[in-house]
Amino acid sequence: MSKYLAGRLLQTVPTVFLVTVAVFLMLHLTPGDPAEVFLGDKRSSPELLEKVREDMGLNRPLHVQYLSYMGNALRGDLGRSLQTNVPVTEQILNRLPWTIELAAAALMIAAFIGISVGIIAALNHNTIVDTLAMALALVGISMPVYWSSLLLILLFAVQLRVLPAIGQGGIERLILPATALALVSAGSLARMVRSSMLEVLNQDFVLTARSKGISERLVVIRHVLRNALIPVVTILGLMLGNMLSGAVITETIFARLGIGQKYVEAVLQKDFTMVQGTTLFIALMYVFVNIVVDIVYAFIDPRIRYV
Amino acid sequence: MSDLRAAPTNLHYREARRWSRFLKRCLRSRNVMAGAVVLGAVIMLVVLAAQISPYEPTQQFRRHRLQPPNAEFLLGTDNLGRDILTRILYGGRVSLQVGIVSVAIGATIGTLLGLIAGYIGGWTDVLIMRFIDMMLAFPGILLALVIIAVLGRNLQNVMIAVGLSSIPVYTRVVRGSALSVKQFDFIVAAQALGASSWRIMARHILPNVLAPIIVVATNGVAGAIISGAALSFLGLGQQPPDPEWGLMLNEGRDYIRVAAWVTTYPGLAIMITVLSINLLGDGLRDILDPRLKL
Repeated sequence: MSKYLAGRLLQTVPTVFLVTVAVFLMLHLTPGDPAEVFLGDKRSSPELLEKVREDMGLNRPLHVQYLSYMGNALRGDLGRSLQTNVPVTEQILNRLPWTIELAAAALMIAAFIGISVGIIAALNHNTIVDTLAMALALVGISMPVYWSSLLLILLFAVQLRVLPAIGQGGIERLILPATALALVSAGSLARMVRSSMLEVLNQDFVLTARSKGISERLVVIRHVLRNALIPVVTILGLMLGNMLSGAVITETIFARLGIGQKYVEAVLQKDFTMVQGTTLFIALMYVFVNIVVDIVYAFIDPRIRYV
Repeated sequence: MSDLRAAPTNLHYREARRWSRFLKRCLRSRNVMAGAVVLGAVIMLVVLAAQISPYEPTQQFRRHRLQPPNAEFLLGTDNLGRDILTRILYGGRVSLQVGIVSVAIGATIGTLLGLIAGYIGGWTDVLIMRFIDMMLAFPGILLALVIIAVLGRNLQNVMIAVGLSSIPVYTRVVRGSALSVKQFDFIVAAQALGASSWRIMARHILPNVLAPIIVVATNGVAGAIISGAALSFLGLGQQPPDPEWGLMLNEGRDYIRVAAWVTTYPGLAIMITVLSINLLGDGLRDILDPRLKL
């Protein structure tokens, strides 16, 4: 087990390194002079450009710049927003709770819908229920999150007037964006749970359990579900990725001041330090969550340790 | 070794028979047929936009703003009095183009990297796969957003961004398949005959990993259409006044309380198109590569 853990952690070292290099290089890959990028739309005279280069240390060799960027980042300093001059880290941390709230709620809704639909479909394999459930899953997968968001607003906020369309705070403002965000993941989850269940249902130990004469309910709960849901854990990390990237859109539509909404704003305003810092933060968070998922998976599924 | 024993004259015949068997199975698959028919209809409508619609996509009928669907404007008009049906038809050209071009970019580069990583192996493999891991650290549309932030926002960069961000899927699938194909005797035979690595990859490995590529690429078009429209929705792709499905959704968003049709129909267009492509992809997967899990 510890060997597996060590190997898994070691594997992420080059990933994390490359991510930081890529994020650092973003500024230099942008067409034009980095100093001009920093100045944005402001008028730039040669003297001003030179001053910016001096201030930002853009005259130094690239690797020195990288090391100083990373040194600062490790101390929690990702620079200041070019638009508001507020420290990037501060803005990220201010907005993080709203995004976590949204992603967590969406993850729960997706897990609930996806797993139940998947189980129902598998237990009614090759019946009309199965067909309907899978058609539903396909529709879920094919629904862009911006479209499902607008439909939910239309239905619950405009027509029925039961839930607020925009804003944040309180569960009533969380339900719509979280549901919209959950639908795509719920669709793919339902398909996965179904095929995983069908695989387990055909195993010999299920036959053995049935032949012992215990009720079908118990067979499903004790023997099938426990085994069928193991692979589902692996896509939780992937789903979190969906949530993070979907949050960019849902937060924009529902006017939630989370990281995703800030990210889009920063890209639109060419607020480069903000884009850079947020990208680094999200990527590292995502890598970290995936390590955790893998470790959890190794604990649940003893087979993985011997591979 | 059965491949070597077959008489060479039979090869063309066998190839043709494989194709006809594939086509027959497609014709029998409900998913493939349903997807192909709907997608075919969408493509026809979009290509014939100029013939179908009496209006121009940016033509403004100032006296007919925000009109609900009626005989004159079948799907209604938007806040500037533009015909929504016309804009959906013309906008579809953009969305389909984004889907196809991005997949072409992603599939080409991704397949190439996957072939090299899988066949050459060693340090080359390690380097390529670490690079792919790095790309995967930026989930979903974020990688595309980063690329747009670097390159600047316009439609061409949307295609590049969506295309580049889809590279990892192809590389992973192709590398996996290449690794298993590499073991076969006909590869060893080709090596013994002195074929170059490029020749072996192009002539012997690529044809054998084509099935999963086709499946992934088909679903990839659906994903690329969604991502492309998402970027335009966020204001990073197609710029007004030209139509695009995602952009139309965004423009209609402010009027959702008074004129829902402005957003409903472009969204429906995306969903029908994506749904048909996904159906096609699912059907093709069942035929070509049942074990492939996406």
